[in-house]
Amino acid sequence: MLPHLLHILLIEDNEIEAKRLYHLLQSHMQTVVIIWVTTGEQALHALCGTGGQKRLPRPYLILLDFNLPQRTSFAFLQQLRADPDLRQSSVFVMGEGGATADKEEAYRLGIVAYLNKATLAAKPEAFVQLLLWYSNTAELLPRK
Amino acid sequence: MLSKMNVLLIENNDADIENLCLHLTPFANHLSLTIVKDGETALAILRGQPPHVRLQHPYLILFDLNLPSMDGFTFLDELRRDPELRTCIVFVLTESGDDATITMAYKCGIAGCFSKAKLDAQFAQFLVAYSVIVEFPPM
Repeated sequence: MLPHLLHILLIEDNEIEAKRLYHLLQSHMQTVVIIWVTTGEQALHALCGTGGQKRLPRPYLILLDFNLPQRTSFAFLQQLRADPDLRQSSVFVMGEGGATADKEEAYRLGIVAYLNKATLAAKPEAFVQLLLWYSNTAELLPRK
Repeated sequence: MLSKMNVLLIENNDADIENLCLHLTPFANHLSLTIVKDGETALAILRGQPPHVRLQHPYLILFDLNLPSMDGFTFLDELRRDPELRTCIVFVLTESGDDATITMAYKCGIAGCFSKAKLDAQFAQFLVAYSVIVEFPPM
């Protein structure tokens, strides 16, 4: 059986950062399609197939920049968990570290992991491995 | 940075416990496994209630949703209502892979879900990578 094509929804408003991640993932993961959006609102459209966007095929992972303007990263996570069809999405958060209250809130909202962007830059291979092993072993829902 | 990550396994099926031990043992320098068979004991360890010694940070929890005695959802609720435990990382282990049940668990803020059939060497490596690069919730 062919491996399922994994889709990764990358939510990042910094273009340089997004391109760096895009190339990193694209070069290390063979069966991955990366969809890049810059706001939580666009991300929700992509997940639901609304706002003129094509619905993101399942299975998928979400990589969320935790420093989107006006705390929209939080709003996105909250909306995701409140939606019965999207609640089960696997979300990896990328932040600047520090701000312990933010990190706490993110974990309470059920993220897979909080990754410090500095660590990502220093250990890109470890990051790719984490995503690969997670996507190979975890149950990504919904399975359709 | 390279402190060992504690893995608290809450599981009562011996075959599943053996299988996970088998795959985690080669990574004993990264991971330290604690095994309990029910949710009550897990809570006592997480809270450091005598005679238990409190589990040291950083840690994550692997949890079989279908445990006898304390119901899985009761356990998750207890965690989320405890101000000191509400942010801890919980991965659910499931046998049936029933989507509806797992989706309900996401309401309680679980981090993810693994099928017991896939707890293999790759899963162990995922945990090692996790212990190396992830920033844990504040203690």
